[in-house]
Amino acid sequence: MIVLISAIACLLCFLILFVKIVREINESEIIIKAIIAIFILTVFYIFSGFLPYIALAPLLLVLIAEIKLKLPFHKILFSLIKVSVYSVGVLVPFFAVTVFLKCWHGRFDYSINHYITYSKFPSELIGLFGMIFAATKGIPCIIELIKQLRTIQNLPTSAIGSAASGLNEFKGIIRPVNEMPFNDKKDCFPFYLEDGTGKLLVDPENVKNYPGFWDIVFNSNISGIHRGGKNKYFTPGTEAYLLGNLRKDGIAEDMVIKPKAEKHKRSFIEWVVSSDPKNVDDPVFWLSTAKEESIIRHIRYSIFLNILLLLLWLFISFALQTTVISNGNGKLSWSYDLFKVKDLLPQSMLDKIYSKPPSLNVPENNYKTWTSDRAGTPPIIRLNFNDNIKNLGTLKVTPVERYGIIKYQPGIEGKAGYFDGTYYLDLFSETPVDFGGSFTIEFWFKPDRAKAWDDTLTRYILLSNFTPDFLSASLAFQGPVNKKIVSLVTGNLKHGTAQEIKEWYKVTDNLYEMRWYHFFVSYDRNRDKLAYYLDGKALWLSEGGQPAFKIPERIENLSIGQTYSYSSKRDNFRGWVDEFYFYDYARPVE
Amino acid sequence: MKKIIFWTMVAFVIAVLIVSVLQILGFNLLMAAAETRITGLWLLSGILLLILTIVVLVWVISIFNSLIQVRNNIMKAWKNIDVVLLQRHDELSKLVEAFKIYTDYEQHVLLAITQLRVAYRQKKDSAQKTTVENDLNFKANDLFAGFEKYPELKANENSVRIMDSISSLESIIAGRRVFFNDTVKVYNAQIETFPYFVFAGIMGLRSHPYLDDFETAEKFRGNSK
Repeated sequence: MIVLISAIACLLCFLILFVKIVREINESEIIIKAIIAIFILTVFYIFSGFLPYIALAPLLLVLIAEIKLKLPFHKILFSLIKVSVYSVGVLVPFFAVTVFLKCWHGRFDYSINHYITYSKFPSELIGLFGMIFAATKGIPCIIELIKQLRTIQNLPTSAIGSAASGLNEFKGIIRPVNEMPFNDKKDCFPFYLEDGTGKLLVDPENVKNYPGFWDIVFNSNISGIHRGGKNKYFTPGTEAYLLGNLRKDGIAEDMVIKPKAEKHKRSFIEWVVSSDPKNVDDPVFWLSTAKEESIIRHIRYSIFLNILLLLLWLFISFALQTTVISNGNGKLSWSYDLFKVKDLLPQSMLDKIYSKPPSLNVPENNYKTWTSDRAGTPPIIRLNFNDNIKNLGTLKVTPVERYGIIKYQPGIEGKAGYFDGTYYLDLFSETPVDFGGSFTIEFWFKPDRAKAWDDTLTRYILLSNFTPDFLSASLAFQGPVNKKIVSLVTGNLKHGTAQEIKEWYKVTDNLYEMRWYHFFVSYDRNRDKLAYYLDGKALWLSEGGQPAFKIPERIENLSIGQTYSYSSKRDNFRGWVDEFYFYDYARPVE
Repeated sequence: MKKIIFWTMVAFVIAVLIVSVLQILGFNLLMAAAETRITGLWLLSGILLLILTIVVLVWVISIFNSLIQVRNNIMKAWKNIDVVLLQRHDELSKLVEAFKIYTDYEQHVLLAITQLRVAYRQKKDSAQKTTVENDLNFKANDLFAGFEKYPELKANENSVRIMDSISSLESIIAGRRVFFNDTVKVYNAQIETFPYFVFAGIMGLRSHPYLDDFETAEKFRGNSK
């Protein structure tokens, strides 16, 4: 549903953008060509996965147009920077749509971050340009509209016969001087406005370029500029609303209004090749056949639309800087990772949300139970991480922190130990403990957020059992960032030789960050039964037949949070661990 | 104010740039500050606070500008009418001179008109001038009523010329008065509306009197009798 709504929102955004751009065309056909080029390339990109060089198309077109216009070098340079930032910024909804589609169809397995690595075209950059675009175009546009609204609302209508010089609002009837006020070639000719008390001359002085969509200079109807529609609306005898600076000319007529043509241009979407506003005159001018009330309504609507557009643009731009996960089957995992929801909430709330996730909501007593003679025997190792790492179990072990000091932060019960990815915990046993193979390990853990540029195949070993020469068994995570997999390492591994890992048994995927998980593993050597559970859900049950995983029989040097690799400290576990229990028998579960 | 808006926007864009660049470089503040643990919540709160500040700033500036605009509109509209009112005062003084030969006429009316004329010139504020002008209008109505009572005066060519002049000026004033009163209406309505009245209070803006026309003055005179 979220995907659908977002996709529809993006498509809507795209449509608004397209309509706005098309309506604003006022300089040359080059802009239409640029838009068509973008559209075609976007479609092409969606289907082919070709790199989004879409932004280059309008850039080249603008460059050609500006060279043709013979603009000075610094203007061309500035314009190119502006156009390149803006054209990428404008692409934000396009890009978002492509990401959705690609994720949907599973072409794109991991995340946008992953995509960046291969495409060399960071979505962060697109998001950034989108934000710059929205901020520099949207906010001034909204301010300008508010100013317009205020001016129109605050100014009462003047009678032409008794109006003072300066900004005035008139309502009257259009009367031509010689020719029709407007023709189809966008030429404007002087005309009179009469209101019964007098008449004034409106002299557009060869205005040809109609400023942007929101600053409707010659607005035929309030919904926008209609090319070729002016004669239809601004015919002699039409009632018109006029806002402009009145002055005494003294030549042809006494009262004259000369509109400024170019400078007042403000628009959210502006692709226009820059041109010199030479024929500037009066800063405020508005002529419309609509009533004042509809103009006010229209501006209010424009402000509302612009704010919505601005927020939408900022939101999508921000979203492009985050991560989308696809499992490759057309299903997106967004609920936790997109828009970094987890970053927005306080820790206490996160704990509530993640302690019982809906996706893994299974009955708590779903653990498979085995009878055991030693039921009720306390664990040999018990760490509750309540401000210390003292073993509360029966075994004499000395926990030692390596490469740093564990931090204690709120956990499942009391506090939990935080591992930052560089340090880990060694549990030295004074004498090797032989527990005959049967054991139970249970603990809570919560993976921390991944770093933005973590290796996609970072492996975190949560628990390992070292012997002098090799790592006999490990409980580990492996997998790309944001798609960690709880796996088991098989085979005998030498220190520092990750290559010798024979196989990783995938027991689950979609191990989310910032969420507490309860892990439980139990092995009964006599019955040869092995079971793994995550949040009470059986991940792997084995009865009979030795699994490839070699079960440790002795504890000499148990590590929590250490990688199998000596060389890379950063592969150590990053996250929280709480209520760690190690039993030397297969514990029945209550 | 424009500078404030400009620099606020610049600050906003720079903030967006910094945050985004930090993200691009992977210096997620959450991770970088492992010791201090600057959380994403703080980061986002900062950005939201910045946006909120900008919105509030724009809103406040907009209100202030609007109030200044309506006040300036009154000043402009007043100047537009003031020129004609002064001309009318001159004509009224001529009429007062013409009345002085009739000793049986109420001399206090003539005196009041002269005093109000002087007072009008002394006042600088448009609101005070409007009040004086309204009083003057009221007294002038008395004068015009008196004009009807003296056939000699009506037969006097000079007096008739003065009355014609006043009448033509009055038609000019009428058009400008409508505009002025409309402007006052917008101003008064605005400074009494929430949230404008809060800022109007801070700026010391008070409601502006309307400029009465003769009909109003006559009605008032009729009622007072």
